Amino acid sequence: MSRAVTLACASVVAAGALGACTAAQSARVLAPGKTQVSVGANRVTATDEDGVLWSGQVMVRRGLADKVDVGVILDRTPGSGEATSMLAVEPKVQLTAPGGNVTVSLALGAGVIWADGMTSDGLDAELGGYMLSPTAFLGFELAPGAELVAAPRLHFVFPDGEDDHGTAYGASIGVRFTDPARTWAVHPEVTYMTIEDTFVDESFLTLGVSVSAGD
Amino acid sequence: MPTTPEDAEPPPATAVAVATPTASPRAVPPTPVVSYPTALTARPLVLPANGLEGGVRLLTTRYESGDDRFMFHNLEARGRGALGTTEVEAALVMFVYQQFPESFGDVPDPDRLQSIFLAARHGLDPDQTVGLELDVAGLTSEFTTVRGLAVYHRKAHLSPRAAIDSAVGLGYQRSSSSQTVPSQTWSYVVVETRHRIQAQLTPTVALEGRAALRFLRDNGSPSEMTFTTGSAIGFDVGVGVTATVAPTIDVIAAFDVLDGGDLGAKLFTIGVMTRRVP
Repeated sequence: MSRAVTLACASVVAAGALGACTAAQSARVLAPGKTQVSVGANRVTATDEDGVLWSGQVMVRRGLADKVDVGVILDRTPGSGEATSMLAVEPKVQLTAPGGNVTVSLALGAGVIWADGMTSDGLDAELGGYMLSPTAFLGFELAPGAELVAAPRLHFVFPDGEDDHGTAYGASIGVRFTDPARTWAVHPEVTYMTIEDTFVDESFLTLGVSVSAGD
Repeated sequence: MPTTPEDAEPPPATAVAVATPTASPRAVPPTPVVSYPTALTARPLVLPANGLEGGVRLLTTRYESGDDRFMFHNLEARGRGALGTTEVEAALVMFVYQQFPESFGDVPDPDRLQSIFLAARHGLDPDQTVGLELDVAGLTSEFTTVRGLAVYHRKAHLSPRAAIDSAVGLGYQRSSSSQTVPSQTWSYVVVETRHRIQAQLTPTVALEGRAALRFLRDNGSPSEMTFTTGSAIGFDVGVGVTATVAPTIDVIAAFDVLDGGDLGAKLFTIGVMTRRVP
Protein backbone atom coordinates (compact mmCIF):
# COMPACT_ATOMS: atom_id res chain seq x y z
CA MET A 1 0.00 0.00 0.00
CA SER A 2 1.38 3.36 -0.93
CA ARG A 3 1.95 5.66 1.97
CA ALA A 4 1.29 9.22 0.99
CA VAL A 5 1.03 10.26 4.59
CA THR A 6 4.39 9.85 6.22
CA LEU A 7 5.70 11.46 9.34
CA ALA A 8 9.43 11.92 9.57
CA CYS A 9 10.90 11.65 13.03
CA ALA A 10 11.29 15.40 13.25
CA SER A 11 7.68 15.83 12.29
CA VAL A 12 6.59 13.32 14.89
CA VAL A 13 8.47 15.14 17.57
CA ALA A 14 7.15 18.47 16.39
CA ALA A 15 3.61 17.11 16.13
CA GLY A 16 3.92 15.67 19.59
CA ALA A 17 5.11 19.00 20.89
CA LEU A 18 2.15 20.71 19.24
CA GLY A 19 -0.07 18.47 21.27
CA ALA A 20 1.75 19.63 24.36
CA CYS A 21 1.30 23.29 23.52
CA THR A 22 -1.65 23.75 25.82
CA ALA A 23 -2.69 22.83 29.35
CA ALA A 24 -6.18 24.36 29.41
CA GLN A 25 -7.29 23.04 32.77
CA SER A 26 -7.45 23.96 36.41
CA ALA A 27 -4.78 22.85 38.82
CA ARG A 28 -7.66 21.58 40.97
CA VAL A 29 -9.01 18.17 40.16
CA LEU A 30 -12.71 17.69 39.52
CA ALA A 31 -14.84 16.37 42.37
CA PRO A 32 -15.70 12.67 42.14
CA GLY A 33 -18.41 12.05 39.57
CA LYS A 34 -18.17 15.49 38.00
CA THR A 35 -17.51 15.72 34.27
CA GLN A 36 -16.22 18.64 32.26
CA VAL A 37 -15.92 19.00 28.50
CA SER A 38 -13.61 21.58 26.91
CA VAL A 39 -13.02 22.82 23.40
CA GLY A 40 -10.04 24.99 22.58
CA ALA A 41 -8.29 26.62 19.65
CA ASN A 42 -4.54 27.22 19.64
CA ARG A 43 -2.31 29.32 17.41
CA VAL A 44 1.20 27.87 17.27
CA THR A 45 4.21 29.70 15.87
CA ALA A 46 7.72 28.38 15.54
CA THR A 47 9.85 31.16 16.97
CA ASP A 48 12.48 31.11 14.21
CA GLU A 49 10.09 30.64 11.28
CA ASP A 50 7.25 32.64 9.80
CA GLY A 51 4.79 29.80 9.58
CA VAL A 52 1.71 29.55 11.76
CA LEU A 53 -0.14 26.38 12.60
CA TRP A 54 -3.45 25.98 14.33
CA SER A 55 -4.59 23.11 16.45
CA GLY A 56 -7.91 22.28 17.99
CA GLN A 57 -8.37 20.45 21.24
CA VAL A 58 -11.29 18.55 22.71
CA MET A 59 -10.88 17.36 26.29
CA VAL A 60 -13.21 15.40 28.55
CA ARG A 61 -12.28 15.17 32.23
CA ARG A 62 -13.98 13.30 35.04
CA GLY A 63 -13.37 13.25 38.75
CA LEU A 64 -12.56 9.77 40.01
CA ALA A 65 -11.74 10.35 43.68
CA ASP A 66 -11.26 13.22 46.11
CA LYS A 67 -7.85 14.07 44.68
CA VAL A 68 -7.81 12.28 41.33
CA ASP A 69 -9.35 13.06 37.98
CA VAL A 70 -8.61 11.81 34.48
CA GLY A 71 -8.84 13.40 31.07
CA VAL A 72 -9.08 12.15 27.53
CA ILE A 73 -7.57 14.67 25.11
CA LEU A 74 -7.75 14.88 21.34
CA ASP A 75 -5.49 17.40 19.59
CA ARG A 76 -5.79 17.77 15.85
CA THR A 77 -4.89 20.26 13.16
CA PRO A 78 -8.15 21.51 11.64
CA GLY A 79 -8.99 20.92 8.01
CA SER A 80 -9.96 18.18 5.60
CA GLY A 81 -6.53 17.51 4.19
CA GLU A 82 -3.51 15.93 5.78
CA ALA A 83 -3.64 16.35 9.53
CA THR A 84 -1.63 15.38 12.57
CA SER A 85 -3.42 14.22 15.68
CA MET A 86 -2.68 13.23 19.22
CA LEU A 87 -4.97 11.23 21.48
CA ALA A 88 -3.94 11.01 25.11
CA VAL A 89 -5.15 9.90 28.50
CA GLU A 90 -4.05 12.11 31.37
CA PRO A 91 -4.64 11.21 35.02
CA LYS A 92 -4.03 14.03 37.47
CA VAL A 93 -3.41 13.85 41.22
CA GLN A 94 -3.86 16.85 43.50
CA LEU A 95 -1.15 17.05 46.12
CA THR A 96 -2.57 19.89 48.21
CA ALA A 97 -5.72 19.89 50.29
CA PRO A 98 -8.89 21.02 48.54
CA GLY A 99 -10.08 24.54 49.26
CA GLY A 100 -6.73 26.27 49.60
CA ASN A 101 -5.65 29.34 47.69
CA VAL A 102 -2.70 27.45 46.23
CA THR A 103 -3.11 24.13 44.47
CA VAL A 104 -0.38 21.78 43.31
CA SER A 105 -1.12 18.80 41.11
CA LEU A 106 0.83 16.33 39.03
CA ALA A 107 -0.41 14.82 35.79
CA LEU A 108 0.97 12.23 33.42
CA GLY A 109 -0.30 12.24 29.88
CA ALA A 110 0.27 9.19 27.69
CA GLY A 111 -0.86 8.96 24.13
CA VAL A 112 -0.42 8.17 20.48
CA ILE A 113 0.45 10.46 17.56
CA TRP A 114 -0.63 9.83 14.00
CA ALA A 115 -1.13 11.52 10.66
CA ASP A 116 -3.93 10.94 8.22
CA GLY A 117 -5.03 12.42 4.95
CA MET A 118 -6.77 11.97 1.68
CA THR A 119 -4.92 10.11 -1.06
CA SER A 120 -5.87 8.75 -4.45
CA ASP A 121 -6.19 5.35 -2.76
CA GLY A 122 -8.57 6.62 -0.12
CA LEU A 123 -8.01 7.59 3.46
CA ASP A 124 -4.48 6.88 4.56
CA ALA A 125 -3.12 6.98 8.07
CA GLU A 126 0.37 6.61 9.48
CA LEU A 127 1.28 5.93 13.08
CA GLY A 128 3.79 8.55 14.13
CA GLY A 129 4.71 7.44 17.59
CA TYR A 130 3.88 7.68 21.24
CA MET A 131 4.18 10.38 23.86
CA LEU A 132 4.54 10.77 27.60
CA SER A 133 4.00 14.13 29.18
CA PRO A 134 4.54 14.65 32.92
CA THR A 135 3.15 18.02 33.95
CA ALA A 136 3.04 19.97 37.21
CA PHE A 137 0.02 22.21 37.68
CA LEU A 138 0.35 25.17 40.04
CA GLY A 139 -2.85 27.06 40.70
CA PHE A 140 -3.13 30.38 42.53
CA GLU A 141 -6.54 31.81 43.32
CA LEU A 142 -6.28 35.44 42.30
CA ALA A 143 -9.88 36.20 43.18
CA PRO A 144 -13.06 34.17 43.52
CA GLY A 145 -13.55 32.69 40.07
CA ALA A 146 -10.09 33.54 38.74
CA GLU A 147 -7.23 31.06 38.99
CA LEU A 148 -3.73 31.66 37.68
CA VAL A 149 -2.51 28.32 36.33
CA ALA A 150 1.16 27.66 35.61
CA ALA A 151 1.99 24.29 34.09
CA PRO A 152 5.65 23.41 33.52
CA ARG A 153 6.01 20.16 31.63
CA LEU A 154 8.32 17.69 29.99
CA HIS A 155 7.21 16.03 26.81
CA PHE A 156 8.79 12.82 25.56
CA VAL A 157 7.99 11.67 22.05
CA PHE A 158 8.93 8.19 20.84
CA PRO A 159 8.79 7.99 17.03
CA ASP A 160 7.48 4.65 15.82
CA GLY A 161 10.31 2.29 14.84
CA GLU A 162 13.06 4.44 16.36
CA ASP A 163 15.22 3.62 19.35
CA ASP A 164 15.79 7.24 20.25
CA HIS A 165 13.22 9.72 21.48
CA GLY A 166 12.67 13.44 21.35
CA THR A 167 12.28 15.66 24.38
CA ALA A 168 10.48 18.95 24.65
CA TYR A 169 10.18 21.13 27.71
CA GLY A 170 8.42 24.32 28.54
CA ALA A 171 5.46 25.74 30.39
CA SER A 172 1.98 27.11 30.01
CA ILE A 173 0.62 30.04 31.96
CA GLY A 174 -2.95 31.19 31.84
CA VAL A 175 -5.89 32.45 33.86
CA ARG A 176 -8.93 30.29 34.31
CA PHE A 177 -12.17 32.17 34.82
CA THR A 178 -14.95 30.09 36.31
CA ASP A 179 -17.97 30.17 38.60
CA PRO A 180 -18.02 28.92 42.22
CA ALA A 181 -19.60 25.62 41.17
CA ARG A 182 -17.04 25.21 38.38
CA THR A 183 -19.75 24.41 35.87
CA TRP A 184 -18.13 26.57 33.20
CA ALA A 185 -14.69 28.01 32.53
CA VAL A 186 -12.86 30.17 30.03
CA HIS A 187 -9.13 29.68 29.93
CA PRO A 188 -6.81 31.88 27.85
CA GLU A 189 -3.17 30.90 28.09
CA VAL A 190 0.26 31.17 26.52
CA THR A 191 2.73 28.28 26.19
CA TYR A 192 6.41 28.19 25.33
CA MET A 193 7.94 24.83 24.42
CA THR A 194 11.49 24.03 23.28
CA ILE A 195 12.78 20.90 21.60
CA GLU A 196 16.53 20.30 21.50
CA ASP A 197 17.58 16.85 20.40
CA THR A 198 18.80 14.83 17.48
CA PHE A 199 15.53 15.05 15.57
CA VAL A 200 14.67 18.70 15.72
CA ASP A 201 15.83 21.95 17.30
CA GLU A 202 12.88 24.23 17.55
CA SER A 203 10.82 26.41 19.89
CA PHE A 204 7.10 27.04 19.75
CA LEU A 205 4.98 29.85 21.14
CA THR A 206 1.29 29.08 21.50
CA LEU A 207 -1.64 31.35 22.20
CA GLY A 208 -4.79 29.48 23.06
CA VAL A 209 -8.22 29.79 24.54
CA SER A 210 -10.61 27.09 25.66
CA VAL A 211 -14.20 27.02 26.84
CA SER A 212 -15.39 24.39 29.31
CA ALA A 213 -18.77 23.24 30.56
CA GLY A 214 -19.65 20.60 33.08
CA ASP A 215 -22.12 19.41 35.66
CA MET B 1 -43.19 43.70 48.32
CA PRO B 2 -42.18 41.14 50.94
CA THR B 3 -39.34 38.96 49.81
CA THR B 4 -38.87 36.75 52.84
CA PRO B 5 -41.25 35.27 55.42
CA GLU B 6 -39.89 37.73 57.98
CA ASP B 7 -40.87 40.65 55.75
CA ALA B 8 -44.43 39.45 55.33
CA GLU B 9 -47.18 41.31 57.14
CA PRO B 10 -48.74 39.37 60.05
CA PRO B 11 -52.25 38.08 59.46
CA PRO B 12 -55.11 40.24 60.83
CA ALA B 13 -56.09 39.37 64.39
CA THR B 14 -59.76 39.30 63.53
CA ALA B 15 -61.10 37.14 60.84
CA VAL B 16 -62.88 39.13 58.18
CA ALA B 17 -65.52 37.49 56.12
CA VAL B 18 -64.87 37.90 52.47
CA ALA B 19 -66.76 36.64 49.53
CA THR B 20 -65.10 33.60 48.12
CA PRO B 21 -65.54 33.30 44.39
CA THR B 22 -67.05 30.02 43.42
CA ALA B 23 -65.01 28.10 40.97
CA SER B 24 -66.75 27.81 37.65
CA PRO B 25 -66.98 24.24 36.39
CA ARG B 26 -65.56 25.50 33.10
CA ALA B 27 -62.57 27.21 34.68
CA VAL B 28 -59.17 25.83 33.82
CA PRO B 29 -56.03 26.35 35.82
CA PRO B 30 -53.96 29.20 34.44
CA THR B 31 -51.14 28.17 32.18
CA PRO B 32 -47.83 29.31 33.65
CA VAL B 33 -46.23 31.89 31.43
CA VAL B 34 -42.61 30.97 30.79
CA SER B 35 -40.70 33.54 28.85
CA TYR B 36 -37.99 32.52 26.41
CA PRO B 37 -34.70 32.48 28.32
CA THR B 38 -32.23 35.27 27.81
CA ALA B 39 -29.29 33.07 28.76
CA LEU B 40 -27.97 31.05 25.84
CA THR B 41 -27.29 28.08 28.10
CA ALA B 42 -30.92 27.98 29.25
CA ARG B 43 -32.49 28.15 25.81
CA PRO B 44 -34.15 25.04 24.41
CA LEU B 45 -33.03 23.60 21.10
CA VAL B 46 -36.34 24.25 19.40
CA LEU B 47 -38.26 27.50 19.43
CA PRO B 48 -41.60 27.54 21.24
CA ALA B 49 -44.60 26.83 19.02
CA ASN B 50 -45.23 29.70 16.58
CA GLY B 51 -41.88 31.24 17.42
CA LEU B 52 -39.81 32.88 14.73
CA GLU B 53 -36.12 33.73 14.63
CA GLY B 54 -34.12 35.37 11.89
CA GLY B 55 -31.10 37.43 11.18
CA VAL B 56 -28.09 38.18 9.04
CA ARG B 57 -24.45 37.30 9.42
CA LEU B 58 -21.36 38.54 7.62
CA LEU B 59 -19.08 35.58 6.93
CA THR B 60 -15.48 36.38 6.08
CA THR B 61 -13.25 33.49 5.09
CA ARG B 62 -9.56 34.27 5.10
CA TYR B 63 -6.91 32.07 3.50
CA GLU B 64 -3.19 32.45 3.93
CA SER B 65 -0.54 31.04 1.64
CA GLY B 66 2.95 32.26 2.45
CA ASP B 67 2.73 36.03 2.51
CA ASP B 68 -0.43 36.10 0.39
CA ARG B 69 -3.84 36.73 1.94
CA PHE B 70 -7.15 35.98 0.29
CA MET B 71 -10.48 37.04 1.73
CA PHE B 72 -14.03 36.24 0.69
CA HIS B 73 -16.94 38.11 2.23
CA ASN B 74 -20.39 36.56 2.13
CA LEU B 75 -23.70 37.61 3.62
CA GLU B 76 -25.98 35.01 5.12
CA ALA B 77 -29.69 35.43 5.78
CA ARG B 78 -30.99 32.78 8.15
CA GLY B 79 -34.37 32.13 9.68
CA ARG B 80 -36.29 29.43 11.49
CA GLY B 81 -39.83 29.00 12.66
CA ALA B 82 -41.69 26.51 14.82
CA LEU B 83 -45.01 24.96 13.97
CA GLY B 84 -46.05 22.97 16.99
CA THR B 85 -43.18 20.63 17.72
CA THR B 86 -41.78 20.89 14.21
CA GLU B 87 -39.23 23.48 13.27
CA VAL B 88 -38.09 24.54 9.83
CA GLU B 89 -34.94 26.51 9.07
CA ALA B 90 -33.56 28.09 5.93
CA ALA B 91 -30.42 30.03 5.08
CA LEU B 92 -29.13 31.72 1.99
CA VAL B 93 -25.48 32.72 1.52
CA MET B 94 -24.69 35.44 -1.01
CA PHE B 95 -21.28 36.53 -2.23
CA VAL B 96 -20.48 40.16 -1.44
CA TYR B 97 -16.82 40.92 -2.03
CA GLN B 98 -13.42 39.29 -2.42
CA GLN B 99 -9.85 40.46 -1.87
CA PHE B 100 -6.79 39.05 -3.64
CA PRO B 101 -3.15 40.15 -3.58
CA GLU B 102 -2.42 42.77 -6.22
CA SER B 103 -0.14 40.36 -8.03
CA PHE B 104 -3.18 38.29 -8.96
CA GLY B 105 -4.65 41.12 -11.05
CA ASP B 106 -8.39 41.17 -11.63
CA VAL B 107 -9.98 37.96 -10.47
CA PRO B 108 -13.54 37.42 -11.67
CA ASP B 109 -16.16 37.35 -8.92
CA PRO B 110 -17.74 34.00 -8.08
CA ASP B 111 -21.46 33.46 -8.48
CA ARG B 112 -23.63 35.66 -6.32
CA LEU B 113 -25.57 32.73 -4.87
CA GLN B 114 -23.11 30.67 -2.85
CA SER B 115 -25.23 28.19 -0.95
CA ILE B 116 -28.68 27.26 0.29
CA PHE B 117 -29.46 25.48 3.52
CA LEU B 118 -32.80 23.89 4.43
CA ALA B 119 -33.70 21.89 7.52
CA ALA B 120 -36.76 20.39 9.13
CA ARG B 121 -36.73 19.04 12.67
CA HIS B 122 -39.14 17.32 14.95
CA GLY B 123 -38.78 18.08 18.61
CA LEU B 124 -38.92 14.92 20.69
CA ASP B 125 -38.79 17.34 23.58
CA PRO B 126 -37.56 20.95 23.78
CA ASP B 127 -33.94 19.79 23.93
CA GLN B 128 -33.95 16.82 21.62
CA THR B 129 -34.68 16.75 17.91
CA VAL B 130 -34.46 14.50 14.90
CA GLY B 131 -34.44 16.05 11.48
CA LEU B 132 -33.17 16.38 7.98
CA GLU B 133 -30.71 18.94 6.63
CA LEU B 134 -29.99 19.79 3.03
CA ASP B 135 -27.02 21.92 2.03
CA VAL B 136 -26.45 22.94 -1.58
CA ALA B 137 -23.30 24.84 -2.51
CA GLY B 138 -22.41 26.18 -5.93
CA LEU B 139 -25.91 25.75 -7.26
CA THR B 140 -25.31 28.12 -10.14
CA SER B 141 -21.64 27.36 -10.64
CA GLU B 142 -19.76 24.67 -12.53
CA PHE B 143 -18.92 22.86 -9.31
CA THR B 144 -21.93 21.86 -7.24
CA THR B 145 -22.06 20.00 -3.95
CA VAL B 146 -25.29 18.66 -2.47
CA ARG B 147 -25.28 17.19 1.01
CA GLY B 148 -28.18 15.66 2.90
CA LEU B 149 -27.97 14.59 6.51
CA ALA B 150 -30.30 12.93 8.96
CA VAL B 151 -29.44 14.56 12.27
CA TYR B 152 -30.08 13.73 15.90
CA HIS B 153 -29.54 16.79 18.06
CA ARG B 154 -29.52 17.08 21.83
CA LYS B 155 -28.80 19.84 24.29
CA ALA B 156 -27.82 19.06 27.87
CA HIS B 157 -28.29 21.84 30.42
CA LEU B 158 -25.55 20.97 32.85
CA SER B 159 -26.23 23.91 35.13
CA PRO B 160 -27.92 27.32 34.78
CA ARG B 161 -24.64 28.58 33.35
CA ALA B 162 -23.31 25.64 31.34
CA ALA B 163 -24.65 23.54 28.50
CA ILE B 164 -23.47 21.16 25.83
CA ASP B 165 -25.20 21.11 22.49
CA SER B 166 -24.33 18.00 20.46
CA ALA B 167 -25.46 16.65 17.12
CA VAL B 168 -24.65 13.58 15.11
CA GLY B 169 -25.56 13.23 11.46
CA LEU B 170 -25.48 10.52 8.84
CA GLY B 171 -25.98 11.25 5.19
CA TYR B 172 -24.80 11.48 1.66
CA GLN B 173 -22.79 14.04 -0.30
CA ARG B 174 -22.70 14.30 -4.05
CA SER B 175 -20.41 16.64 -5.94
CA SER B 176 -20.37 17.29 -9.66
CA SER B 177 -18.18 19.28 -11.96
CA SER B 178 -19.15 20.49 -15.38
CA GLN B 179 -15.69 22.00 -15.87
CA THR B 180 -14.42 18.67 -17.10
CA VAL B 181 -15.41 16.94 -20.33
CA PRO B 182 -17.26 14.75 -19.80
CA SER B 183 -18.69 16.13 -16.58
CA GLN B 184 -17.80 14.11 -13.52
CA THR B 185 -19.61 13.16 -10.38
CA TRP B 186 -18.44 11.61 -7.15
CA SER B 187 -20.15 10.83 -3.90
CA TYR B 188 -19.50 10.21 -0.24
CA VAL B 189 -21.19 8.74 2.77
CA VAL B 190 -20.94 11.36 5.50
CA VAL B 191 -20.84 10.87 9.26
CA GLU B 192 -20.60 14.07 11.24
CA THR B 193 -20.58 15.12 14.89
CA ARG B 194 -20.82 18.70 16.13
CA HIS B 195 -20.40 19.91 19.66
CA ARG B 196 -20.95 23.32 21.23
CA ILE B 197 -19.69 23.94 24.73
CA GLN B 198 -21.62 26.90 26.16
CA ALA B 199 -20.56 29.00 29.15
CA GLN B 200 -22.80 31.80 30.39
CA LEU B 201 -20.37 34.43 31.64
CA THR B 202 -23.02 36.96 32.63
CA PRO B 203 -26.81 36.86 32.34
CA THR B 204 -26.53 38.31 28.84
CA VAL B 205 -23.13 37.22 27.54
CA ALA B 206 -22.20 33.65 26.67
CA LEU B 207 -19.06 32.10 25.26
CA GLU B 208 -19.11 29.03 23.09
CA GLY B 209 -16.37 26.61 22.14
CA ARG B 210 -17.26 24.42 19.22
CA ALA B 211 -15.78 21.52 17.34
CA ALA B 212 -16.98 19.41 14.44
CA LEU B 213 -15.56 16.13 13.22
CA ARG B 214 -16.74 14.52 10.02
CA PHE B 215 -15.82 11.46 8.03
CA LEU B 216 -16.42 11.33 4.30
CA ARG B 217 -16.22 7.85 2.91
CA ASP B 218 -15.55 7.80 -0.80
CA ASN B 219 -18.45 6.04 -2.43
CA GLY B 220 -16.87 5.59 -5.83
CA SER B 221 -15.16 8.33 -7.80
CA PRO B 222 -14.23 8.50 -11.47
CA SER B 223 -10.84 6.92 -12.02
CA GLU B 224 -9.81 9.62 -14.49
CA MET B 225 -10.13 12.40 -11.92
CA THR B 226 -7.71 15.18 -12.59
CA PHE B 227 -7.25 15.88 -8.89
CA THR B 228 -7.07 13.83 -5.75
CA THR B 229 -10.24 12.62 -4.20
CA GLY B 230 -11.10 9.90 -1.75
CA SER B 231 -12.18 9.42 1.82
CA ALA B 232 -11.32 12.15 4.25
CA ILE B 233 -11.61 13.24 7.84
CA GLY B 234 -12.56 16.85 8.43
CA PHE B 235 -12.17 18.73 11.68
CA ASP B 236 -12.84 22.34 12.55
CA VAL B 237 -12.80 24.19 15.81
CA GLY B 238 -13.76 27.66 16.96
CA VAL B 239 -14.95 30.01 19.65
CA GLY B 240 -17.85 32.42 19.62
CA VAL B 241 -19.61 34.98 21.80
CA THR B 242 -23.32 35.72 21.97
CA ALA B 243 -24.44 38.97 23.58
CA THR B 244 -28.14 39.44 24.23
CA VAL B 245 -28.43 43.20 23.78
CA ALA B 246 -32.22 43.21 24.14
CA PRO B 247 -34.66 40.50 25.23
CA THR B 248 -35.23 39.48 21.61
CA ILE B 249 -31.96 40.48 19.97
CA ASP B 250 -28.61 38.69 19.97
CA VAL B 251 -25.35 40.02 18.58
CA ILE B 252 -22.94 37.24 17.71
CA ALA B 253 -19.27 37.09 16.81
CA ALA B 254 -17.23 33.98 16.17
CA PHE B 255 -13.90 32.74 14.96
CA ASP B 256 -13.48 29.27 13.47
CA VAL B 257 -10.39 27.53 12.14
CA LEU B 258 -11.35 25.58 9.05
CA ASP B 259 -7.81 24.61 8.10
CA GLY B 260 -4.86 24.84 10.43
CA GLY B 261 -2.10 23.96 7.99
CA ASP B 262 -0.74 25.35 4.76
CA LEU B 263 -4.12 26.62 3.61
CA GLY B 264 -4.68 28.52 6.84
CA ALA B 265 -8.41 29.01 6.42
CA LYS B 266 -10.22 30.96 9.09
CA LEU B 267 -13.86 32.00 9.25
CA PHE B 268 -14.82 35.24 10.98
CA THR B 269 -18.51 35.76 11.69
CA ILE B 270 -20.43 38.74 12.98
CA GLY B 271 -24.17 39.01 12.93
CA VAL B 272 -27.42 39.85 14.58
CA MET B 273 -30.38 37.59 15.26
CA THR B 274 -33.82 38.60 16.42
CA ARG B 275 -36.82 36.51 17.40
CA ARG B 276 -40.46 36.66 18.18
CA VAL B 277 -41.71 34.06 20.58
CA PRO B 278 -45.27 33.79 21.91
